Amino acid sequence: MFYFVSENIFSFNSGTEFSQAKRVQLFNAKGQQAFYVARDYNPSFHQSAKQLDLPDDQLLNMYDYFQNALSVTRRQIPVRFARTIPKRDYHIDGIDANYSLIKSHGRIIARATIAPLTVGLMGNMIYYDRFGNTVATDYWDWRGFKSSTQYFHPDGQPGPQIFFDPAGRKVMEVIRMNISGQLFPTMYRLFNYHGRDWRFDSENDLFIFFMNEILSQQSESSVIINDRPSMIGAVAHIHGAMAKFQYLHDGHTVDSDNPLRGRLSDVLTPLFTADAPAFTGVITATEAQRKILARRFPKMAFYCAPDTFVPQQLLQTRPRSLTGRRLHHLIYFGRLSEEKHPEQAIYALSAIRKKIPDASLEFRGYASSADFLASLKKIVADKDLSDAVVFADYALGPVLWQSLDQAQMVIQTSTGEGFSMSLIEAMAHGLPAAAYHANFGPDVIIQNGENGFLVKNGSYADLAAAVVKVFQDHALWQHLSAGAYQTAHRYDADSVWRAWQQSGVLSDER
Amino acid sequence: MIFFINANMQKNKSGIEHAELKRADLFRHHQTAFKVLLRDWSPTLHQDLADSSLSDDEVINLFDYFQGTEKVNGQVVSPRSVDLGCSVDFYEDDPANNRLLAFQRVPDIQGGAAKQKLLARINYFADSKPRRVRSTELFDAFGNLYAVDFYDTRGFVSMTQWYSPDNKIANETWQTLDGRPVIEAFHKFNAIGEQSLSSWRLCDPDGSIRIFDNLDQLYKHFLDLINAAYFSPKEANIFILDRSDLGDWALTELKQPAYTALHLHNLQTVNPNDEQHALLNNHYEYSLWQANSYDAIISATAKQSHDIQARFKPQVPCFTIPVGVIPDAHFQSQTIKMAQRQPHSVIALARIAPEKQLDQLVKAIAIAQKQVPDITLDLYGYRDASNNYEAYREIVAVIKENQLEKQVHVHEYTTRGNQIEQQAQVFAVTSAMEGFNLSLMEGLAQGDVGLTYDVNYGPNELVVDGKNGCILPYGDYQALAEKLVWLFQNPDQLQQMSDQAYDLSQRYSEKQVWQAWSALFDDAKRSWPAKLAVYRPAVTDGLGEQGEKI
Repeated sequence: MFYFVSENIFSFNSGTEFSQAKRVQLFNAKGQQAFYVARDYNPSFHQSAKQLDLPDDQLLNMYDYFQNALSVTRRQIPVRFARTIPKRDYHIDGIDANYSLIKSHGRIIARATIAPLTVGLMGNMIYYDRFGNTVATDYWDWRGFKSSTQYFHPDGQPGPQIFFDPAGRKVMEVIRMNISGQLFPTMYRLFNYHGRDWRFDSENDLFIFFMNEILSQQSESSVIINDRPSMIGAVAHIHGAMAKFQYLHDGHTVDSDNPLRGRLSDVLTPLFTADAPAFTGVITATEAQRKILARRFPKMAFYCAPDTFVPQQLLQTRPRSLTGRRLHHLIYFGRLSEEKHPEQAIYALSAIRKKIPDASLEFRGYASSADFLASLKKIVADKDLSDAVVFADYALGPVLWQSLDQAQMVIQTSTGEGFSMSLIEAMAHGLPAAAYHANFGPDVIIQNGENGFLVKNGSYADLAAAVVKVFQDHALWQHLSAGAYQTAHRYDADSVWRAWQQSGVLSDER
Repeated sequence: MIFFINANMQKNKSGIEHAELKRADLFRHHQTAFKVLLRDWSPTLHQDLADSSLSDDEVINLFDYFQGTEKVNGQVVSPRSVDLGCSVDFYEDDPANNRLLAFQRVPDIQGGAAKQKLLARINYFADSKPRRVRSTELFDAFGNLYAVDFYDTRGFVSMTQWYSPDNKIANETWQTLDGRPVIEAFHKFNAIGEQSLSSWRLCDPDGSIRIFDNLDQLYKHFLDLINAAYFSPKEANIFILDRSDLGDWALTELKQPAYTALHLHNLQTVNPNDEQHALLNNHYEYSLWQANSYDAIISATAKQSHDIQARFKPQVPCFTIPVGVIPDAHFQSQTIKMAQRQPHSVIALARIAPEKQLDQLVKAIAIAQKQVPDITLDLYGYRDASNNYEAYREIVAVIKENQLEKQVHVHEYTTRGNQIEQQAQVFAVTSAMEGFNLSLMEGLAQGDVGLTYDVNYGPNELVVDGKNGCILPYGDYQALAEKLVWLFQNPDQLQQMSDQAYDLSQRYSEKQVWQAWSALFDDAKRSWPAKLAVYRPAVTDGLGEQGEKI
């Protein structure tokens, strides 16, 4: 039994969640039961999981577990027909697709927020007093039951939160009070769990209890792979697993160019120090990172196993030639965050357009913050590239695939990576790649002149030159695109599964 | 169904609760179903009910109704059995404060002595044996008091007060037996930064959620639900408003028709001697302005009914229904002759409160004592705390001034009223005003001779001057003293009046009072078809998601 652990599944996910979700799918497809384990409360958890094609029986959310809601048949509750709102007494005033106001004799008493990505379904209900203070917010699970009630302190900060099972019984409480003058969750209470009440001082303490409970109910031996560095400490304290691993989705040093001696990133430090004995080993996506870590921490065990696989459905589609694509169109695909340096893609585009005036760039991904997105847009405006750069919405599945099928090349500007899953995914759509030669991943995926070009880390001018070379030479593009498709095939499910089998992670004789 | 509207049925009952209890006994005896609708939350309600003549079935408390706790098999929750969610390392008993402190030992990380962490203060009912939990003050690991759970006497957490980081009550929740909050009250800041109870939320077990500005609005909703639940085209629900502040506006706005009756339990003006002109009693002002919005007005005395009609000329009937009922069994019991009682004994059963003016009674005793040296006075009643027990202090002062320590005794409230009345000769009333005076009625029924000032309403009707006692000019304690002397010096007169006291009590027999109620029931019956004829029930067809009936 495998448990892949992280915090949550979001509506906008990062590579970590994608990798974890794909691994869950791969293992289950290969007959190894595996769960996507999440610690955080999320009324839309099952909706988000569905977007990642994860069925309920491969999910294990801690709150679901204590709310007796691991598997609940979805009921759609339209706001307009929810029992919650007594329409004989109240008006429902639909404002827009996102919310309605509930009015009593002309006064707003509540706001019904529509569940994201639904038409008119109950998301949450926010109730107000006559002064307009929020008195309580009821969160509705996407599956159609009132999942929790959040109360508030008089200053408006969140106070106690009560959690219900689908039948409406109180099963949990989170208390929020001050620690040294600052508001924190200070207690997690379970009610009538196995016949008694329980209290925990932190969410991680509850998570440890939760996992210990899960493992103790399991007769098979269990393997935990933690995907989230923030949960290393909690996973370290879980008892009863046959083996516990940490999967590194990123480099391990602050300076990715100095993995052997550079300062460890803060969030990973415990893994290599205090919590190291609690882990069976650490899994990297690349052999290069594994070797360096093994040199640096000789007493620890390191394994290498792939970060992702390309679904068969995608590999079976016919390669797309240049004719169906938008010429000179670049795609940047992934999270728009500081450490991935998307601004350098704009600088590169600016350079490219000196040679190829109609070159364009599409950002496809969510921004780490609104401020950062604004700063990128400002660069675009300053460089007079507004007509050439588009910031497209975060997308999954067919929408994303269409976008990738229409581009001519993928560009990556990260100066440090754990693997670069997005490159593999872009190559599955026949896109040659231009990327920095950074640790770790790009050099495993890209072979110069075969499926793209690796250039000196941080040199966007070189990146631009590589792109120009490909854009100016259709035969070269054709050659690289074929190479990209081939690379993607190396990451088909069977190959990736074989790599996992050979990694030593699955074997009993570790 | 007939409903009595009140706030609580507390241990220390006022005249209104006593009137309801007597009415309940009468209705029960006549197989007429009724429910007392109580608005206020009380964790001791069902214990108090057990100590009264009401059964759980005869009462619907608003909180119980939504919490689903109208009927609960009680259990004793002992302080050490409270589940704090973790093991308790040790307890510290604090009987002086009726509480037990629960601690955990936390090892010191630096290797020093273990620290002790307070988990909870478990408070128990002061007089409970074995100890029963009253409330638990709960602390998190960081020393914050985050909530106080209040237990019902039947052994479950009924209400939780949630604290804010600055240690004030932020929210209150009332819950079902499985912990689901159904009623919530919120203490929020208003527009000028003052914190107050700003809102109530009702999460009805039927799934609907409503917001109310105050408990009155919630009670109105409750009355509507009750009216709907018992609604029948055959018969009107009858609501008797025993406390006007609880439903004086709500009853005029019920969603479905019902028969509503305003029951006056007190004077309708502030001046008992000028009922036709004086300022209206604040409690009744709104309901009297609304008098025609009810279906009936009930007073306990004919005099009050007359005054109401004369002054307000309401277009709804006024019924005179005594609030006291003397049970049939009483009339079968033996009368007790004056000679068999404690000679020259005077009693008063009344709250020791300013408006009862009992200091004047003591002054009368001081005067009478000069001619009847063995006269005694025994006072029984709760001591009103207002103005630092002013009424009690004044009585004590008069006793001291006249050295009446041997003759006059001030007792606590008694539940042995009947015995005391059977042993006394005179029952005296010096009140400034009364709503009825149940105690006087009971004293007369026990053969006591009544002496009272001429005050509205009740005393001057219960006492028929020269028959079962004497009515004296208001405030004239000199005359009261003279009458006491005369009575004690004329034992034949005293005995005659006592005999009449027994006889005149027939006015308040079950039969008489039931007849008075029957007149009201007849009116409800008579007016019901007309009410029904103009009532259109709410639409239910076509409202469902697919246009179906709901």
